[in-house]
Amino acid sequence: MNYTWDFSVIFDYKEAILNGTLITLELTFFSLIIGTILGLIICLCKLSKNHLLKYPAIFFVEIFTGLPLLVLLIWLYYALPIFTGVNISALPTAIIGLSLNLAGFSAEIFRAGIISVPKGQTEASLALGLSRFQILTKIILPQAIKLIIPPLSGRYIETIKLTSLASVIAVDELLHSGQNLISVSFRPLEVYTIIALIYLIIIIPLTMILRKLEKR
Amino acid sequence: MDQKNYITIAIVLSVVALIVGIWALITSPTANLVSQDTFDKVLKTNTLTICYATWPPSVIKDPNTGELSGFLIEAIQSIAKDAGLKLNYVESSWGGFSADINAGKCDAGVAGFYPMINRSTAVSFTRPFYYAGNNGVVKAGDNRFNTISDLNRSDIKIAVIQGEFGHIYAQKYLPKAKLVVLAESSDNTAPLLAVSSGQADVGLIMADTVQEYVKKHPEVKALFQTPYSTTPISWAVRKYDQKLLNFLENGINYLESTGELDAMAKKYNSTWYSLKKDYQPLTQ
Repeated sequence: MNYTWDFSVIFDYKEAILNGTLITLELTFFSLIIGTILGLIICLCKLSKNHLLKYPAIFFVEIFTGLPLLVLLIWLYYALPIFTGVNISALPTAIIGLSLNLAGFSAEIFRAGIISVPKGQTEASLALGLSRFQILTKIILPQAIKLIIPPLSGRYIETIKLTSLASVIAVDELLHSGQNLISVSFRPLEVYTIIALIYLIIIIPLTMILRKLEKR
Repeated sequence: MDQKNYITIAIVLSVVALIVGIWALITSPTANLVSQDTFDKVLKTNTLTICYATWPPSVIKDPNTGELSGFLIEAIQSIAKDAGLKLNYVESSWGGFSADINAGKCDAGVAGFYPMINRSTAVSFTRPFYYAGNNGVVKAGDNRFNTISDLNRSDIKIAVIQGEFGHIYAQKYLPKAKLVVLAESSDNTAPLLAVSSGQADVGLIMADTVQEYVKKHPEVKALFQTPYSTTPISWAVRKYDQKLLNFLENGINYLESTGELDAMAKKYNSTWYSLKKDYQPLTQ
């Protein structure tokens, strides 16, 4: 194909690319932390025998695993202020949306890991006089974590890629910064190529770390 | 717990969600927005919050600093300065600007909005005060098209951005052509890139974008020497914000009468934006 590549624009606007990358990392960091903690809480609520905890948790998982993230982000950004009067700016909206999405999926991953530990161990621990909290932290989670890490790693990688959807609500993450750069540089192929490389630079080392963790 | 109980709980939750939803709609702050005049609030706070969508040279966002420029930004800055107002900026998009305005993210939309009739049911537009030319690109060696009607063939693929003028035009006046409709969140070069990469025969977009793109991409050329049509450009406010609409209209009239509006466009080397209607009818 007769196309003249010119990557000089990337050097002229390296600050924009760097800022976009930092915002993508910020989105990822907060979404992973909040999504994982919330997912674990939701999972425990779902496993609870208390109906007041269990059924709202089931409802939460169904909603946030069923809703496409793009729709959720748009709804949170545009419809929520109309319903509630609470006007949240774009970056926190994206963090909330990504966290809720991750929490829904990670709750199911945690649940699958926890229920895979034979019930007899819980009963034996109770007989030995351990508290419910001790059973969870000392008996169940250490065994469940081996089953949780592989699917959770996959979900984390997916969440990093999903941060690009925040561009639709004008969060200046990597893709949106790139699109803004295209609007002034008119070099879309070069910009998208660099964006793809940066995503790979973020994701490949993380994948390798998570693989090593799985092996341990 | 048996299946019957699950169904009961699901029904109860759905009813609760429905009641909360209806209650929220009735008591929503948007309902209050109708009675609470935006311009009074702007004067009280001395702050006008605008939503913008980038499209050089009318609205330019410096990729490194995030600083805004462009002749439409200069126009609103000039109006705000004379009125002693501070400006707050909220980034929007072409597809999302009416939702942003109605969700209260901003008081007014300041970008090159095309005041279509269906859009006017969602927001109120100022009178058109610029007219933007529309053009397209084709492969450098493609000499098949002399008039816009030459594109109306079943073997021609035309790339357009969803909801952009080129899309609206092609749907109405080029029905035989195959449309490659790109998402409205695409960047403004997307239809042109489709031609560069061989995905389409023609890419339609605003003439200023075409002019800049062909300078940097020798593999394509402008479809025509002059725009095939023009698009009126307006700003937007919430449906009932008549006072704010009057204020913006007066500002635009003032800048036009002093020649500043024209000078602003020229400062940014805009070739295909004009204050004159110089209208070429859409019909062929």
